[in-house]
Amino acid sequence: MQGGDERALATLYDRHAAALLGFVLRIVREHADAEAVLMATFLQAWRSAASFDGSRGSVLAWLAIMARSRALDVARGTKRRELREQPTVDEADPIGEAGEAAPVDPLAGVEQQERRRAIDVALATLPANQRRVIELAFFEGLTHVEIAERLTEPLGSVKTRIRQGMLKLRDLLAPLAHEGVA
Amino acid sequence: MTRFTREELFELAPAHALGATTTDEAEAMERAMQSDPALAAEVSAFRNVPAMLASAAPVVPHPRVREALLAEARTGPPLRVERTVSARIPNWVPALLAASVVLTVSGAVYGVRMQRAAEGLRAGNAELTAELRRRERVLNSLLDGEGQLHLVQVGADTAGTGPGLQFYWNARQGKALAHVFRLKPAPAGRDYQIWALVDGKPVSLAVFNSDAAGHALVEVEGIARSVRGVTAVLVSVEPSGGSLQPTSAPFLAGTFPGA
Repeated sequence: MQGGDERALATLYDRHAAALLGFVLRIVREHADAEAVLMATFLQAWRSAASFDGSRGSVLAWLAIMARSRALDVARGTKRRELREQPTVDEADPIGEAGEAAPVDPLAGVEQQERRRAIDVALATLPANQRRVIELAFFEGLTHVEIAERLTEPLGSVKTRIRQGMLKLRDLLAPLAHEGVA
Repeated sequence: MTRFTREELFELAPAHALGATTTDEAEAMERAMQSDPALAAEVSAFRNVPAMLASAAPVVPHPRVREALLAEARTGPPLRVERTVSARIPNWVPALLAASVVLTVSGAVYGVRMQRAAEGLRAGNAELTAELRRRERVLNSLLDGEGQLHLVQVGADTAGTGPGLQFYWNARQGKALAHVFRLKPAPAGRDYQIWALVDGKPVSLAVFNSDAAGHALVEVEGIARSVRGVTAVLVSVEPSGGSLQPTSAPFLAGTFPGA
């Protein structure tokens, strides 16, 4: 893709779009917003392909960081807009009507299910308070300082929980990454 | 700017990979990672966790998204970015990009919906592409500063209500970018002028005015490649076109890092 090959962009999209859309949807909620974020993320990847550095993490990690940043911006904007007015029909209109998405490829679906199960199991092994702080950070975009304020708990405790939770997840999810999933 | 020990930075590695560090911490991490491969590797080791969390619940997008993406990609090849953004990008760059994100995302929504209606897509995409190219040019000019990029926070109270600017000085190439905010336009016949205080003497950097919303993004070329002796960045009100020396007392000031 760094050479400007559109087929590489298509391959990258085919491989990661579904994962990213599910992730972005969890943050922005609105299907049309999520698909717009998805498209903007891949355009950013296409136009800044030379910036990818494999030593900094996987392609999926790179894409996820970009998608998360955009999704959080949209979510925050949506929250502000919702305070001012009710959503209009146009705003709620998705690119494809809800449920119109193409069916999942059966083989890919099996892999996805296995991956999801492994991630669920990994998350389930975490104490609830560790899982909570990690989810607040990753899916709501809160810093550990903001999490401490939200939970009215000492900052040190929040930092410790994030660190301990991340250490466990890193070890538990390493096999998935090594299988080439990421 | 908070100083962190190496041990503290290693402690922050998981939170940084997760995106849970504060701006101060994130900036310190990014700076330190450029010169500390072990720290960079430590953060990298945690980066697959958010990637895995992100991929936990896939939802297949509508085929039209893919079609629109590839149509948009065909409007222009990837822009060259000479350096590794993820490795070198300081935490303030996402902040700078935040403004473009709104445009990009809303532009993407616009483009996708136009595609659906099969009208107006090309014009919208061209406009968006042009804007993206402009912003990426600005971004690249900053990234090219490498280890010689200096950020000076000028003005801006901690309450986030006063005027201010962020002055990004790319000493490697003698360029700068000033991001001005909450600064109402100068009165008729007047402009704002940015100065560097070098060895106690003001040196002009740029002349500008802000828009009605109090914003300005000023690209500055041909400034000093050395920041030796620079202790502050100041802003004063001057006659239109600027002055050789300040004719009024600076009303915004920011200390140069390390001065």
